[in-house]
Amino acid sequence: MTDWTDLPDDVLGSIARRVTLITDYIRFGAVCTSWRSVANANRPHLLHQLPWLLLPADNTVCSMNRRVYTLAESRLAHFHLPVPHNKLCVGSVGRWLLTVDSRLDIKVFNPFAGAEILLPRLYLFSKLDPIKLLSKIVLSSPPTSPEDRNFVAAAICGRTLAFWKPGEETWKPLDCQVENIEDIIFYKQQFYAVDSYGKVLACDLDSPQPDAIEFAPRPNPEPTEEKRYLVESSEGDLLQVERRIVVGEKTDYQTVGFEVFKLCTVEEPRDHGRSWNRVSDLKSDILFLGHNASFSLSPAHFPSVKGNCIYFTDDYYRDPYYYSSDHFLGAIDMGIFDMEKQTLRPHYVRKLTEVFCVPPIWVTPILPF
Amino acid sequence: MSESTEKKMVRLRSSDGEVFEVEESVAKVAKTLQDMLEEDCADAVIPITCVRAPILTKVIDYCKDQVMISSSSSTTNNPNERTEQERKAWGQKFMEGVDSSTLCELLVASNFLNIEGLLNLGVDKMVSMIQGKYPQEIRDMFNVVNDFTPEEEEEIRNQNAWAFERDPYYKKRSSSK
Repeated sequence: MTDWTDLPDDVLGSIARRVTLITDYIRFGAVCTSWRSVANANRPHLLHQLPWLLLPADNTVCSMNRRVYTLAESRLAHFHLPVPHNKLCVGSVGRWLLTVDSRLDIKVFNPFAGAEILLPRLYLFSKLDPIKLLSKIVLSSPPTSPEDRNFVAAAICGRTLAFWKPGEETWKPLDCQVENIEDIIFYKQQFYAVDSYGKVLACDLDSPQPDAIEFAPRPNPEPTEEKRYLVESSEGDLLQVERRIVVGEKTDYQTVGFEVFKLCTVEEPRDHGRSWNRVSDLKSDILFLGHNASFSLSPAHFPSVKGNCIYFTDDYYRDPYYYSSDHFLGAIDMGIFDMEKQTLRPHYVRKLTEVFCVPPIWVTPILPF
Repeated sequence: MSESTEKKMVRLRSSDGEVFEVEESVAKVAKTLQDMLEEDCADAVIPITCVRAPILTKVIDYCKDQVMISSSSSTTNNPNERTEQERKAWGQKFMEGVDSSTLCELLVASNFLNIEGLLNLGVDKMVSMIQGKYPQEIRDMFNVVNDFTPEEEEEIRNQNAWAFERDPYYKKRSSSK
């Protein structure tokens, strides 16, 4: 009689390589020692993972765990991730979350391993509540371990930016006045920020006080104030995404569409020789937008997901007190925008009674290699 | 095509002694047998030492089907030709009702006989069976013994505690054992 220990390692290996969901993979490797060594030897296919949508907990009071919606399966996972309720997620890159709490402690937190890196507190504004102003933190690169401090952090705080560099004990704000900053990206070894009218600034961190100079003009000659993002396409182009939000009479608001522009170089000396071309398709890329560091994926690794789409979550209003007010359902403006059909459809379908007291955020389950 | 109109037959003997007579084209679906037959051991009964009769029956069914769908694939109107979707559905139906011990034997047999298509069907079946299951459920289903020390098991669970967070089947094994 054959039993499972008779199975040659290469057959077990083919099985391991076909287990594409990370949770199943971890459990597969926890069955017995031989399955574990096969699992450890067959991991490269797990490098490419679709992100998860980290949702608020079921009961919003004092929960230490948040629910997870997995795009790969299009459903709520039956496990939770340990992200405390009192931490606001103001950024994510790969498996790391950027969190801020009421004491203004800023942490780079890995909810998969429970590891965290403490960054200095952000004391920029004595009069204003920094939590209300701090909308996003982006890192130059994700940490490779909890000991890793070899990255630069950039924080968007309304009309200014603040940067933290390895070895420094404080965040340093920009030395110049700018419009409301909507997004920041680390692109080709430099930070670039976009303001709400679409102007892109290049950040100079080499001088004693950080500076920002105009890098590219606004994409529209008659610009309007919009939610905007900077994303690197899978081919390495810099994209500016304009998110159209319609604000209702009370506290409601809703995304109605997106415009995407690609940065191009032009012969003319004005506008620094750069301009934006409107693009109607993303060359099958998938964009992920929200409080996360904006990113794109090529669907080549994910045949189950339709390309040329924008997956977005709610990052419009940021006041946590606002989210929990009585007549407000919270950060529920999210969905998928199909660039080809110009249509919107939902990803996670919220229950009618569900209140999103904290905004959902994309986070990607990547095993440490 | 060959000169004779009569179909060449091959005999296979399972590990429990049963002899199966199949057309050579059917046997040749298995790459291992194809290699043996090309080395010319036509008259002999080929022993398939690690495959029991009920499993060999299933393997032969698979090979017969492969011959059937490929036999006239060069002609334009092959009634047996399948679309990708039909192929998938056929594979699922073929593996329907296969329990875990049969699955294991089928994997060993298709690996030994080098039948890639059948091996893939088995691997897919296995993957679908472990989906969403906890380690102890997988062990129970496939009769695998947990050979981790309690310390090792704790360490594995702590590395990715979230993946085991709601495991109702996990009981800490006493270290006094």
